[in-house]
Amino acid sequence: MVIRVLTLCIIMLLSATTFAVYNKILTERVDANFVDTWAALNETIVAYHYHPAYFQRCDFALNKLNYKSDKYRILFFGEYDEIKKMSNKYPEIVPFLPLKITVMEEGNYTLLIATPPIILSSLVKTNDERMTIFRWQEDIKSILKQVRRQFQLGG
Amino acid sequence: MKLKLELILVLALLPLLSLAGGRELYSENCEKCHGFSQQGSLGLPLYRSTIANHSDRYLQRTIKSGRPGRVMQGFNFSDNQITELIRFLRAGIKAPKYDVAAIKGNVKNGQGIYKKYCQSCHGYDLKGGQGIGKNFSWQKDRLVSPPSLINRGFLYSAEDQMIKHIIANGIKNTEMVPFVTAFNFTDQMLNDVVSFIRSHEKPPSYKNIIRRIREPVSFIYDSPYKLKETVKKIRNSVASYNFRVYANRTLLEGLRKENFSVDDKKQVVIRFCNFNNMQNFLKIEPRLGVMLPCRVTVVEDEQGKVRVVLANYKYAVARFNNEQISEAAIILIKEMQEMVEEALW
Ligand code: HEC
Ligand code: HEC
Repeated sequence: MVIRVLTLCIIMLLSATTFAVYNKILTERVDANFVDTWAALNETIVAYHYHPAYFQRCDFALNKLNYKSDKYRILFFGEYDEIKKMSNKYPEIVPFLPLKITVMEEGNYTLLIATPPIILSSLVKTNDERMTIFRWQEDIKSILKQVRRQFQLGG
Repeated sequence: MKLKLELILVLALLPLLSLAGGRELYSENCEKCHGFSQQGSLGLPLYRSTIANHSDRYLQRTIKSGRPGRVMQGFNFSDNQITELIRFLRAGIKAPKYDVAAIKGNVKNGQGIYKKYCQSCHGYDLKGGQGIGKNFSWQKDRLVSPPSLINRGFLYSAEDQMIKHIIANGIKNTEMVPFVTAFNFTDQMLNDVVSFIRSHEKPPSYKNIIRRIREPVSFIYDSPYKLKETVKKIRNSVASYNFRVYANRTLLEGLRKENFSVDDKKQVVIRFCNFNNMQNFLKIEPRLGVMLPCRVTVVEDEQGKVRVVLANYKYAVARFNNEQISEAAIILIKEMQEMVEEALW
């Protein structure tokens, strides 16, 4: 318990000083095409004990007119009980749930993009909930990095 | 004695190590925007032929302060790390050096020259082309979006002489042609246009670090109607604002295969999109899809109270460090607020 609170203090301190860094859009470039990246992302999310819920295509905006790529999708995911608890207690967080990662093809590569959940931490009231949000942040960061690394090693 | 030998060995290997360090720094921090082989993407290409125009001072300052409002944020690297990164980017090509003294040209003349020769690409306000960086899948007006010439980070980093050098000699294999050979620019003309660009620099005391948004992260509205009716009214209102409305979802949909409770039906997500808007937005910031689709969420709590929740997109958008998109978002969020207010009225 003490350790937990301590970690939290350190985290809070860190996030205050590196606010600008935390606040950034999370982006990773993957050395693989859209289809392979998409599959790897789904697997990695499951490996992190989240459940992929559904995806939203955004191809509409792209294949019309002159966009060359129509590979643009958003994957929604989360852990049922966690998302349920949070969304029931805090309506102001509801628009940001479930969690999501955007996959966008760019030439021979694919970009993974996510908004940092950490901004939500100022909206919750207990340390446990702050920890949950912090874990979401860290997990999404590692998921993006891990997908990228999978193809780094292979190539 | 043995210690000394080891020391020498380490010292001898240091340059090798530091090159690897530079590559790593690039890979961790820059390649997401500038590409695996510096070919450009969300950021400008950093080919060796481009970097060949840049002084170490320019690169150092650019890395440290980034481009406020033009996507690239500053990096808090040590001097040593920056040196390694620059060495990696140069890959052996010698660094040019420029005199840091200001060039004194005629600003008024420079303005005329700018209008005639530069404005069509770098914009009437010198803020660069629409969108940023290079396009592979994102067809914009040009293969490489002409950078902002009056960005605080750019003017802070660039020497007048470097700007002059680039205008005179162009950037190899880009649309930025050498104006001395292509349009017979004289030395005076070069000086004038440089002075015109420089005249846009804000004094060092000027601070416009992305303003803190003193607004809620999301807007919550109490609905006087029951859940079902609220959803219906919002959908109608959304459609009347020229958005295409998708089928409703529940918030927890798909997160679990079975054992859904009835409560789960009490969080309804209404998704919609305006294609034309979206196309314009994606042109400016291809990553904007992280905010898609536009959405309004209707929730009913245990007491049966119905609320409508709308994300304040200004927040999400501020994180892109992209002035163009921040401006566009202000209009969008106003429209969405009106739309909800109208529905609940
Ligand atoms: C046809 C479009 C076009 C025109 C006309 C043009 N430029 Fe450019 N300019 C570009 C592009 C594109 C780049 C970036 C190229 C790259 O880095 O790959 C650029 C780069 C530059 C740069 C370097 C900026 C930086 O951030 O590194 C300067 C300075 C510049 N232009 C000044 C001018 C001036 C002054 C004129 C008019 C005399 C002019 N340009 C006319 C397209 C244009
Ligand atoms: C979030 C995307 C992003 C990241 C990350 C990023 N940059 Fe940039 N960078 C840009 C953009 C966009 C521009 C051009 C701004 C403009 O158009 O006015 C730029 C411009 C530059 C320039 C000026 C190029 C020129 O021709 O004048 C240099 C040098 C540069 N970046 C180096 C780096 C380095 C080194 C890193 C990693 C430490 C990095 N950038 C990380 C987006 C990024």
